[in-house]
Amino acid sequence: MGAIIDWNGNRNILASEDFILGLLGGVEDEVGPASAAIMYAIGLEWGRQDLRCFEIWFRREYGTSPHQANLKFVLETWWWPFTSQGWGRWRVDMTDRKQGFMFIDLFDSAVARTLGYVGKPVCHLYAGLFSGFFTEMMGQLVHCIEIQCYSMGEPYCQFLLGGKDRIDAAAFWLNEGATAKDIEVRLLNEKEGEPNDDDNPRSTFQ
Amino acid sequence: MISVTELLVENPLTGNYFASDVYVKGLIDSGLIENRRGDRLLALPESLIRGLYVSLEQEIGPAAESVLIGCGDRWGKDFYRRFYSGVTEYYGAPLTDLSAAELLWLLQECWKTHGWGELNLDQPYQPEGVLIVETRHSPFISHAPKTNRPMGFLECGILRSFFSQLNGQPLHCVQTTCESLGADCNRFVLGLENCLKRVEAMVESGRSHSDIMQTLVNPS
Amino acid sequence: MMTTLEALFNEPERHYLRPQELERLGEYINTLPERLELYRQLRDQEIALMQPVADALEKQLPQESMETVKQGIKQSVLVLRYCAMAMLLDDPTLVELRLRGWLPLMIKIHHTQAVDRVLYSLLNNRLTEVFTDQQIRLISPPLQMVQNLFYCEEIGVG
Repeated sequence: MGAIIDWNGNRNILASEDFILGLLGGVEDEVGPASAAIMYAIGLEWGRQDLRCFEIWFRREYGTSPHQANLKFVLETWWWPFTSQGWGRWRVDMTDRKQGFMFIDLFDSAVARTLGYVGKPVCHLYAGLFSGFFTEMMGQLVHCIEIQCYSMGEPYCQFLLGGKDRIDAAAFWLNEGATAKDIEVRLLNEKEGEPNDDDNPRSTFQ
Repeated sequence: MISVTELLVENPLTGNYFASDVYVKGLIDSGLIENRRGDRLLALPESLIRGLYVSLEQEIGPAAESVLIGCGDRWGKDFYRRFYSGVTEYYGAPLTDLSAAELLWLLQECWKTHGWGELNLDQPYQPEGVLIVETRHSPFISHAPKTNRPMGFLECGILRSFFSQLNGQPLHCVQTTCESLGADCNRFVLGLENCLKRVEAMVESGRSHSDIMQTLVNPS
Repeated sequence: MMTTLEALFNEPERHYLRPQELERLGEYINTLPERLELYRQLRDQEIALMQPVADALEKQLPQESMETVKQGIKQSVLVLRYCAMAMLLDDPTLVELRLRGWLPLMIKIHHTQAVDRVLYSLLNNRLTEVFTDQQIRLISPPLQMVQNLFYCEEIGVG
């Protein structure tokens, strides 16, 4: 009947990169420069919806809720289907999680690889996806911004996740020409001396 | 006398280009999927499709429809280009050399292998310049929100673009039945825009597909 | 590939292979040298196998157009290549997976039904002539799958 069902029982649709181009074009035609925000919103809702599917299959596979399992394991488990679905590999750096932010490196972003060199971050769909998933997963609003992109000539894409204040600050610095490394250093300097929230490992993005 | 050796040299053997077990290749180490020509593929999970409908509705309301049709349109254009070059390369002949039956069958296989459900052509109105494409088990529609109107905007765009390029003239596409409204399949009516102008209004007024087609081909 | 065998390898985390599953795997491994040998023969003798079939076909069907006969032969060479691969992998479903739809379509478009009826009978005789009983047993399941494909599509060959 022309259906592709994955290991977790969810249906998949195969599409070339043209789907991404088509979606970007369709959104741009309708909302012009606000297209980045719409792509982020699409990603955000995707992440939310995906957590619902993830909770079901994670519980079925491991007999426990993802909210109760080791976070690093949960994240690797969550991203694995995306890897096998062609969305690229990722690397999560949770070193600064207790400082209230974390970084995700994404290799072979479907958006950036499709668009090629643009000179600015383009992976708003992924940023939204991470924000939507982590917000639902952590039970608190987690924002995300892409601070380095393959479309800027970088070898891979990098995303920063955290509370609104930090993401707004990062957006400002990025606009001023800061690199991903500059942003990381500034964030670390900002937090120096403040106490870590060790008692509540889930509550990390304040 | 037929020489088997010469026969095989003159006509290299070909099978089903879209056979699912060879058409799609996963490169797990790099997190990529590609088709047999090496073009990158993405598996869009149902959570993305659901998220797409929900977020567009929330963010831009009724304009969501144009975004989805526009997306389908662009996607369809490139889909045709890739279909054309893949098939031409593999079979060693341009699409125009294939019979209508071969072309339709390849499109059906391609549709299935991409997990888009099943596709059929219904051609009783071809003399009137109208083509009806039927799709079943559409993943684009099964995750769309339930409303009182057809929801196959993405497919509408893809089909319009694909058949416009195949026919060499711009076609219009209107969906007259939808699985989301309990129909047995999704029916897309394709034809020149001036022929189909009235169809949209008839769909909106809730008229049945057969009724619409009767009115379309027998204008009183 | 090897759909039935491959399924054995899917869930090592759930359980070790059961005795009958190991037995199935063992059977395949035991017949692998024979499968390889038969595959080699089919590959190396493709023309030698098919040319007498083509000659006999032309003789038996003088009324058929040359184009239809050629198309029928081409299709049968394709079928035999898929059967050889399916035999090597011990996976008759490969034939179905790759030829379902395609072969019946070609038969319909090129009107090779009448040619195929004679051709497959000649081919079967030729295979029996060239190969041992054990080799015929190995190649039979995929060939049977081809027959089923014809029946399913009501082409009526066989």
